[in-house]
Amino acid sequence: MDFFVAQALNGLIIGLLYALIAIGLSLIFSVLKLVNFAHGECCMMGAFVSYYFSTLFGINPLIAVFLSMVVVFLLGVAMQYFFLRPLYTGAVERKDEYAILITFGLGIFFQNLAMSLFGPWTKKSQDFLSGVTSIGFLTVDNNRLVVSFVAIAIVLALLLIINKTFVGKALRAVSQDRDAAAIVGINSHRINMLAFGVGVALAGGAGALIGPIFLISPMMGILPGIKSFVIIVLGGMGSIKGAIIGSLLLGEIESLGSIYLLDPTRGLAYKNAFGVLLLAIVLLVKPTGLFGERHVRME
Amino acid sequence: MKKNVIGAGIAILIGVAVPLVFRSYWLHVAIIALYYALLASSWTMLAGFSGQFSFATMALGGIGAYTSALLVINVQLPMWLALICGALAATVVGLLIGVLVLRMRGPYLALFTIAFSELVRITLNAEYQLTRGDMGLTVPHLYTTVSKTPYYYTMLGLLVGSLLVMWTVLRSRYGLFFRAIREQEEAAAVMGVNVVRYKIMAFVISSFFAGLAGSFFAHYIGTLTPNSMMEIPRMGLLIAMSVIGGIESLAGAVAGAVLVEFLQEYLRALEMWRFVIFGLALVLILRFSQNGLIYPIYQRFAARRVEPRTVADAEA
Amino acid sequence: MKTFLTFMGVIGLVVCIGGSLGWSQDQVILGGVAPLSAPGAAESGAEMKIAMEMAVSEIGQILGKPIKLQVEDTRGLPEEGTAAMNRLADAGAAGVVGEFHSAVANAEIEVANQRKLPLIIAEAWADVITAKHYPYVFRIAPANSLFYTKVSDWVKAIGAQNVVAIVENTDWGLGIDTVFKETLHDQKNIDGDPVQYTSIVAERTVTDFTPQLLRYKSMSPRPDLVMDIFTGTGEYLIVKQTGELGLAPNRETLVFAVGTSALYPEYWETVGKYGVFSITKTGYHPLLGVTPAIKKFNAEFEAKTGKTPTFAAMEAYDSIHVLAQAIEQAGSTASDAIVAALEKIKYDGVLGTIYFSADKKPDYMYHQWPGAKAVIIQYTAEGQKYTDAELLWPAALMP
Repeated sequence: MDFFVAQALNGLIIGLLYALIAIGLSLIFSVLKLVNFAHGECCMMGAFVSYYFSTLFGINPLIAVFLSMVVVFLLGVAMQYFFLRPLYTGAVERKDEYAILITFGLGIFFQNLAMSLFGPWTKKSQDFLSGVTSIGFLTVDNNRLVVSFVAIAIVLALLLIINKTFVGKALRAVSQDRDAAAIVGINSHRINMLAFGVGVALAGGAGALIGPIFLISPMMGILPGIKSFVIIVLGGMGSIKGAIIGSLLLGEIESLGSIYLLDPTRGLAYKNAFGVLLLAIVLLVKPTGLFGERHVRME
Repeated sequence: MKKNVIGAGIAILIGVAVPLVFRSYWLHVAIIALYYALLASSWTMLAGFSGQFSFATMALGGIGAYTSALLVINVQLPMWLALICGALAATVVGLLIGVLVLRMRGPYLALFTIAFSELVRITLNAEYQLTRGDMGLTVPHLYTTVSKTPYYYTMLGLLVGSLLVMWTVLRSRYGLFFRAIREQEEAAAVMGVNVVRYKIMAFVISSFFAGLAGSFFAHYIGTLTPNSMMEIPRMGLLIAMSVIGGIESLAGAVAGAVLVEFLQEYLRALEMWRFVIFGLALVLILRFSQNGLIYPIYQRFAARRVEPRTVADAEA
Repeated sequence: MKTFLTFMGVIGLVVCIGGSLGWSQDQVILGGVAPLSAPGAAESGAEMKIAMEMAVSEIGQILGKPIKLQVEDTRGLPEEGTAAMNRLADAGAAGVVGEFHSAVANAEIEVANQRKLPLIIAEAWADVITAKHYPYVFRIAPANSLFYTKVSDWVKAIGAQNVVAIVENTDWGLGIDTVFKETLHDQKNIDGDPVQYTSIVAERTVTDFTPQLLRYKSMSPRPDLVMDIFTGTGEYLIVKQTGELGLAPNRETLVFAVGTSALYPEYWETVGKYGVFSITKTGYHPLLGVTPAIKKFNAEFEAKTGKTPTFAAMEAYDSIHVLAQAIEQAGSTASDAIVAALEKIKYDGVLGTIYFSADKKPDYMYHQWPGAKAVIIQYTAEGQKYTDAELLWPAALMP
């Protein structure tokens, strides 16, 4: 039993980190109607930015996380302005195709750029809080605790903004009907920029939070990226609620599955495969995902 | 049309002459370039002509490679038979993916295939007792000779044959259906095109050629590892090849693959920066010249007359 | 199609120019292979490259001709290794030294044998590299079996009963796993109790080992020793997560970071205080004796890079010297003459007097340097250099 609880707790913490990445992807999808295939790389960028903030300038690592979110937000705004805006001005013929290729291409570009700029070596960001906390039989690394609380705080703040503020209302309006939103005077370009910026900033924040726990390297974004793709299909494309629940679910399945499902010597090897198998099952049984309503496509 | 045939003829002649000029290592590069050319044209056929974006081309190539290699090693299947089995295995997997995902519209195929590639990579790694995973599977070579020339001509033959098949398919009524689906899926459906069936068909054909390329590669290179064959950045390089060549032309894909492969060998001194350049070229070309770099140049010089064709023409 | 032709033309031209460069008969070309970029162990590769350059500039000339060193990046990938060896053979290299990853070395020896290119493996430990008995392949690094059977002796000598491991699925990792399964599992330790050895195999991209470590932690009796049979990021993460979970290192349980990555300063950057009392292995330690040659090498290396060299650098350095001396003795760059000279060589290097065995029993002994040493060390303070760590085994060397 103790063992099960420890595993479940580990899964929960991992799930919270996934949530941060996946919510960003879901937000982008709900407003811009595109999948950001460079999402994992935005996560990686956030990790490196916060690493350099805290090691070069001696900024407190927790503050560096928020600064890196700002930097990745600006990066996202620039990406949106230079590469995605043509989608909404009619300059691009086949929007779906362009959106997939350009975001994937940007991801590959960021990967290679990071490899050249930062080198292939693994780096570790500074600890948020060193040491461990023990409650009874449970021992948890303090970094993981801090990260969990920060992730929860960021998610709650985001939900509050989306549901209670004017900006949130505008975001939802554009996500439901771009033309109608334009008629009531919402500048949809600005909302696009905002949604994309915030979406990738969440991924960047997650990357920065992962730094002290799982270390950072130019290729670190690939797996979180793929997992966030799995999660948004699992939860339903464009559903924030679905993204949160999907993330927690995936975190638990990976943590418990690698122990209980397969024979233990193999579990670890297949750990990163559980998500993909889950995805195949969901697509087979309920293609719209747990909370998705319809197949969405950019028109 | 005539011009195309003459052009293709001259290109093949040059292709045939390559081993006379190139020394051992550059001949190796030429073989790898042709291997990528086959993968890139199979991707182009799928993406450029039927508008389906798959990130699984390298993974399907990997399935072909491992199937063929393992059949030769464990069952002592004759090499040529194994090669075909490899391609067929990729085709079957392609069919399964198609049935699973292509019922849905939107980015599901892209999302699923990127995750699928990872699944294949993980499985091949995890089953190391069979595949030797990251340790590298030593694969029997196709020919006993050390010379690369026979490999080169085999690969050239495979490429030309495959291009011919793809070209024939694309010029047939099926090709028109593919395009119709790409341009306006709803309209195509209304006109009576069984959208899902043709989408799956395009995917399956493309998978076959990816698998074929992969199985040849296995018996040429002699060592397989899942990580280097199907890591995501490698898929990125493949897409860069197709896009630089021109996403709507098979010849463009071939030219793009040859260009990028030779450039990446030639620019070795730049180390990782050469991939930065390819990445940058990829996004800039997508943004500013969606028809690629090579195809528009070709169009300018050749000023091809556009032949109006309809479904009715093709059926006639 | 016209553009296609133009392209082929341009490429043809480019290739002809490329091919004609660097083709000159008045020099001796020595080849180097090392992982210089990801996913290879680029830290070690960079170190090996510098050491090779140092050796070449010291030697200056072979057979009265200038030396050209051509080091190729193998990225830790077998295919890249094959390509690199072919490039070196085409460039007319007299011989090749280097390599760090066993899987890559395993691909390279095939080319060495096929193209009759003498290859001295500097730092890849898998038995199979020399066990194939290829005439053109030599090795300075210890073979896995040579060293890890001794680690098993040590484990038994400290009275461990429950040994657990997380193993990376490479030739190197699985090779060590096999040695432990054969020489540790179900064998009696010094107290006469049977040793239980349990291992879990994982892929190199895994980052969270917590579930498996928790499983080890819940074992009863608690494990005495956690073997971290990984290199690079994984090696760091296992030590770190083992510490975070309170599994090891402590009074009950020790952690043994088997890979070379634990010798670099980056180890401390990532594992921090959890590295104190962690155990690792090295092929060089000052307590093994500091000869003038080592002193000179260390001083030069440190002056050049500001870092303490590890044995990977020393092996690469010695390999170049061994190859150069063999060519001098052979009197030509003909590969068979070089092989014959290597079989008879005696070279006093940084790591000891290097020679190659002709025994074919045990399998891995052929063309292997039997004098390769490795010792077990334990860090006793955070941020400690490996040269200051305590020597644990062999016990005879304890001061």
